[in-house]
Amino acid sequence: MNKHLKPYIISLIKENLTYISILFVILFLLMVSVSVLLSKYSFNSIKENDLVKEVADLNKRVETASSAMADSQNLQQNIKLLDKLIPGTEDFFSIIYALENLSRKSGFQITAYSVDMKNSKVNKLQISISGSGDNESFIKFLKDYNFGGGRLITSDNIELSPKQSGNIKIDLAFYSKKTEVANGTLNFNKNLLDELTKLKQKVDLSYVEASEEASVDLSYPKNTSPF
Amino acid sequence: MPNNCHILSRQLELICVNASTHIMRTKKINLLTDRGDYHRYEKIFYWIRIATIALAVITVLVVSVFFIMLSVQNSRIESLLQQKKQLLLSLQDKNDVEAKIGFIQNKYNSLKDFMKDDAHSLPYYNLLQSALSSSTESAALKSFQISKTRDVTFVVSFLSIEQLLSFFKFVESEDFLKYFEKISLKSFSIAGASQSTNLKYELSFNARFLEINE
Repeated sequence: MNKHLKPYIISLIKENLTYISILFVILFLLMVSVSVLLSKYSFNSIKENDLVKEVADLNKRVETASSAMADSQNLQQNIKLLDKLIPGTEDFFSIIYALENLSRKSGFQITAYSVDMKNSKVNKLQISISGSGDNESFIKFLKDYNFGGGRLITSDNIELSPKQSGNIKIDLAFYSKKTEVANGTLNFNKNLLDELTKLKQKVDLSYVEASEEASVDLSYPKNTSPF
Repeated sequence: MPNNCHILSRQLELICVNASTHIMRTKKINLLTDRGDYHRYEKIFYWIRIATIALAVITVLVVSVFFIMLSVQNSRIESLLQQKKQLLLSLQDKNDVEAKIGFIQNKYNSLKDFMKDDAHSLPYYNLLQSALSSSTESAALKSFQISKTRDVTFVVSFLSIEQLLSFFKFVESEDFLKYFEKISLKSFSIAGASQSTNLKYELSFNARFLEINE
């Protein structure tokens, strides 16, 4: 049977050889072009998505910088405030001032203080204070001690009693940190501004204002070409 | 000699006629028996021709669509690159402000980190005081110690055993337990046992507060 079919199949193949060749060529071209174009499209999509993110970040940075420029006085005040709360280098004068300030504000008399070098670290100075006062003044001290003195103060363990009086000992920590200027996306949003406004209400701003111009190192890597 | 030639040519003629008759007969027979198959194969080749044309059209369409999509995409990328260039140029003038913002942001982040070292004693103290005063007038907070991990030890004192028993009911209620991650009774003591007139019952608790947002 096959022996008899062969001649006209061969003849049909010969007749349609052009079509068959074109079919294979087109199939090959279709596969190659679709795979090349698809990979190009997906590569471009990734590039486009990255660019969209970059542009959004840059837009945010420009908006942030523009709005901050519009309120440069507030910006400068915030820098001073934060640099007073956490100075770049430790400053014993401001520690003493902060303790006196707290003592005056709360009525809790700080009678002695000693530096606890054992528990101090590079950015954290541990100070043990002794003080006297009634329960009310101690509660007021506890209310204000974080920011009220003009320096950031924390205490990781506090004991109090409603009827306490006499000599009270409390361990306080003061902080200093040299701050690097962030490079890249800034997140200076309204929440941060609100938080800073709240913070200003807790801090003795007169001390911040009266202090000398903040000698804050705001050096940043300058890029000559933006691209 | 001419006669011989004539005979030879006649013989060749006959052979050719016989051969052509044989060939014609063979073809005729094949076409008659395999016509169905021939049509089937011809149909297959017909569809191959149609498929080739259709595939060519599809290929042109697909490639065109891809080219259009790519050119649209490229124009979007070009526009984004232009935007990026403009924004970077505009940021060049604002380097100082950005440095200040970066400084504020970093300082504030440090401040938040450092504040994690604080026990936040007063809000938790006030919370416990208000919880106790809402339960019973008789419970008095004698001492309160809290760490930065919100672990607290507190002592509550009572003047009578009835007050103490009524406080136990409160301690086990949801109104009191809602403030704590965990709480356990550390000790029970009777102060002033030698002077029977001024007995004080004291309960000491170990607990951990749930974090509160100040």
